[in-house]
Amino acid sequence: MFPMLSTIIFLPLLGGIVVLLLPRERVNVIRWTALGVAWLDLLLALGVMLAYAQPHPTAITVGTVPLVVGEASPTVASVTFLLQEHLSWLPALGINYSLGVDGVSVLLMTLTTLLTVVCIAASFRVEQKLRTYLAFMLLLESGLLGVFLATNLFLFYVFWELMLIPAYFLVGGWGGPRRVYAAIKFVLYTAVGSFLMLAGIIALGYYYRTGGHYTLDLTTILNSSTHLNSTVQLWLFLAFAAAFAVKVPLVPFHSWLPDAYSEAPAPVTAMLAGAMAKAGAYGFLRYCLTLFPDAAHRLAPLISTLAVIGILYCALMALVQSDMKRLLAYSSISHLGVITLGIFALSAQGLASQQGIDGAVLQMVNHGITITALFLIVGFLEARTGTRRLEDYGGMARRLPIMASVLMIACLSSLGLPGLNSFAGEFLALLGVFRNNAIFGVLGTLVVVPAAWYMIRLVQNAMMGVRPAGGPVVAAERKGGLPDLDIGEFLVLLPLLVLIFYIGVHPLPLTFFVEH
Amino acid sequence: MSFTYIASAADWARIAPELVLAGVALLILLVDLLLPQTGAVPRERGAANFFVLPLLALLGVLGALAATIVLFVVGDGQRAFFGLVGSDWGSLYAYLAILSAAGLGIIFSPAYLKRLKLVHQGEYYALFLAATLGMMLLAAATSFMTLFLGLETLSLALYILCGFVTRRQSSQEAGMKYFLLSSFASAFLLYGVALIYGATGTTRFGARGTSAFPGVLQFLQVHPQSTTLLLIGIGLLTVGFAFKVSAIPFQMWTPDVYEGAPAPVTAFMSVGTKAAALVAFARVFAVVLAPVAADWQAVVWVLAVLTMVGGNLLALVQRNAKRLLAYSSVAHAGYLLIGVVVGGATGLAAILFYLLCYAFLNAGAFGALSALERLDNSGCDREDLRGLWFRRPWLAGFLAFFLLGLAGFPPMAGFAAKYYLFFAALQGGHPELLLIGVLTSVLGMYYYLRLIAAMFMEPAREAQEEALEVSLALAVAGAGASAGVAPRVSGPLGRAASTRTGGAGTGTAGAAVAVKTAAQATTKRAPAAQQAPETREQATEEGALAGSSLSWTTWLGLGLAALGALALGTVLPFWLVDLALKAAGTL
Repeated sequence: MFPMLSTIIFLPLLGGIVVLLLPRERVNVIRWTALGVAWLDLLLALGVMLAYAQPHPTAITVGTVPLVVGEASPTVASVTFLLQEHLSWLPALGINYSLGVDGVSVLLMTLTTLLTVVCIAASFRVEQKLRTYLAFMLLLESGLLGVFLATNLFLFYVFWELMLIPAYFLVGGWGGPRRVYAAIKFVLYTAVGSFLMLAGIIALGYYYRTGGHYTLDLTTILNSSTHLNSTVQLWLFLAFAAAFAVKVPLVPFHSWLPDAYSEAPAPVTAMLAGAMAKAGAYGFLRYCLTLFPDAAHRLAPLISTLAVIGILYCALMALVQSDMKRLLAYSSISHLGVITLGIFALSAQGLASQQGIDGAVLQMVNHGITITALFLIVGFLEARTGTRRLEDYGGMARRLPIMASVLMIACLSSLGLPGLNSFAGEFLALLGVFRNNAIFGVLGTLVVVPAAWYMIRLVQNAMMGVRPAGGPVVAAERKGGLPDLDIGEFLVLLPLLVLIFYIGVHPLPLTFFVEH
Repeated sequence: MSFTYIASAADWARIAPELVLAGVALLILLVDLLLPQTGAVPRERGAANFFVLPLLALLGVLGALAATIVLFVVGDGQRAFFGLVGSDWGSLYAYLAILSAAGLGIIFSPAYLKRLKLVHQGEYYALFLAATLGMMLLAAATSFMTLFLGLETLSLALYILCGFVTRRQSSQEAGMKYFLLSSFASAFLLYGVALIYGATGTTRFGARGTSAFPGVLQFLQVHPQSTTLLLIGIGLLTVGFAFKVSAIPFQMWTPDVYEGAPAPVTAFMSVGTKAAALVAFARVFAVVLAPVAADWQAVVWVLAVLTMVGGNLLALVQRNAKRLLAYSSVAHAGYLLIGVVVGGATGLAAILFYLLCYAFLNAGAFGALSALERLDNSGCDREDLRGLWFRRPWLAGFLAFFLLGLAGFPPMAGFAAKYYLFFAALQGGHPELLLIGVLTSVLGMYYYLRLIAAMFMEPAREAQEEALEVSLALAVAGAGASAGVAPRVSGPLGRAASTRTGGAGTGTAGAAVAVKTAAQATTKRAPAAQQAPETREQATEEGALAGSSLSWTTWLGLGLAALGALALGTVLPFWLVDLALKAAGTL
């Protein structure tokens, strides 16, 4: 069988190497090669998505497996993945190269490839060290895809760390003035979590041994009859959650995010916020929830509390930011809080809520689309004026009507206007939370107020109102004028806009993937 | 007692790798005499060709490697010379790591030697191979006598190699310091051996599962209670070994020696000595002294934890890349000691596999620095490395690759090695060591990434500052030339004439005489001064490298090390780990 998933993962990596070897002066060749590779990968991913949509009797996603607490086997039905690839690597330690997809990973894989295409296209203005930049972008894509497609915990960890390296270089090498600080802070926060997860993975393989055989294969573990006692589950859950909580991030572990998001160049921020943050939520869903159901049940209130605090605190923080990227960064944490809340909307019996998970996954995709659009627009704006401070702007809608409209659409999508994409996901997720825990539901829903407020504040301060008399915006206008979105930039944003409307009107196809 | 000494041909075959190395070392001394010589005075006289001898040395290492592989396949794994030297798979596995490091060190050498005009190549490569031989002997020793023999062979050769750059004070200091402290540690070790001999009546280790050549192991199996004599002996042995593997609190020599020694030598010794000493440490403690494990395990546990925590903490504050790597190697010794504490087949296998991975990563990192190091040992500070990516992107890329590997990022070898070691810790019932190891790795990540940030994310020094420094250095160079302190240094290596601060004073003193030299140099550099600061910096660096037509060897070495590190982390572990597991059983 053709190793489709491996191709999807390693095509960008190879493409990155090819890009590095192209002659430096052929700037356009370099750009179009990178973009072509990203496109090809997107097409392959779409192919897999279509194939997945065909009826197939055996696939049952992990997301829908009812979690049963207690001594019974954690899974009711056997868990399988589609398009599995399996290669023995270090069988003595249970380490194998195994890949597979289920509904959730199909969605996130396609999202990642789509966002890479968009972000590489948005990076056409990068001039400094272009080849390395694009190679790192493609490597980041490889790492992310690997995270979503790996079904062996060791392999998952390899990709998890692999995506950190390009992210570190991209933030630190092409970012703003405080890039080194931001990049190192980002990696250290992530590394603490990751290393704890590494300890957890080693321990997990150790506990799931039969005889002298260790295993780290997800399917084997989920279908095994070994049941970890609840203390072990608790510690392992915490070790895994450390990595995911930093990546998502949950609130006490979030302080790397505003720095990294605001210092990184806009397309990189879009990749980090749109795709990489989803890796954390995906980890919660795929590993924490299914591997340690008892611990998930016990700790769900804790995680939910942190998520609620994050939702409200970061929404309030977003209200007072003057830097547009920081505003979006805090809004991003707040929205991811809703996703986490949906994932951990367990019933009193410890059963995962179908709606909660449906909504969470839907929202992962939607948030990825919306936040990418927002960061890119802010990036385009900053490229014209050299400033991200809200105070410097005002009345831009007259000068930049198209950009103002696009920003408005993205903002409305972000605040969850019915008819646009985010509404369905957020609604479903919160519905799931309500069903199982009304308090968290109420608190989580409160976010709607500040979310509308800060987004409207963004649009209002930047695009409406009175134009400032002086400052960098006026200076930029005098120097070279303030062109509206050109055709290239518009084409970059177009797929995102189409999806914002399409998913808003017709979210069912996405929930189909989650439920199958 | 009568003793008939008959060494069979099989005995010689079992130490074939060592024999090859010894032969080639002698051959190198001979060939050195036959090569055409240059240099006016005897202390500057040496072979004019910088390629023949390293090639010969490399062939020697490859020959030894081939012999090792042959022994793997057809060897009987028995001990040679009545149980004095092992030819078991464990020793052979250690040979792989030692020979890889030696090979890489030799490949990095010619460009370095030529650039720094170190002409005494015959001695250099012969000593290099002698040190390798000593390391292999130490790793394969199955008797305290052979162990000491190997230890002294490698140490004596390395004392000289560390002080090889005679025109550099820090190099001489490194040699001297290493000599004094290391002899001290050897004395401890020897006294420990004497006491153990007193307690057990034998210096032979004795093999597991056979009573062919009974030794300490067999004695302890019969008398598992340790006497005071034995305890003191074990304590002294611990001190000696801890010094050799640079475990805290016996690490003081490491940073000074690693920093002062020539970078290719550091690349080799940081890995080779560590590999040999750790395998010997593991064999003596985790195998031979295993019956009395309760007596030493706590001590080694404390050593391991101290070394992991302390090494990483001390590395945090270093500003010089060589010193930083020295402390990081201390930290890695700490991780490796986990394997000694854990013991058993998995613990020992983890040590062996880790050493092999570490050989490629660390040798690669020091090899990259060897292309930067100047005669006065400058060039490796974080300040010097700033913006390296913009000046020499490939070198910076390689260095970053090795640093990331050392930090434990997949898919490089460092990750696989660490994973296996931590796994061994958990399996051996030491989850606390797993946790400490994991958390100290985070500390490690910070300093490696800080260095990478300096290379990739910070601009090179300000143009003005740079210009000032160049003029100052030129004045100093002139001063040096006039005073006759370091005549050969003044020309192309102008910047390297003296340390910058110390040079300022002499610069003014000799300024009058310096005018001419400086003026010449200035006219030469004048066009460069008008270029952008980055290009100019590049020009100076390449000026410093002028005359090193052999720089391709450095690239070759870096490429091989990178390839090895990548292969060990991705495709090879599946059988190298199995092999290590089998090898560990034979130690």
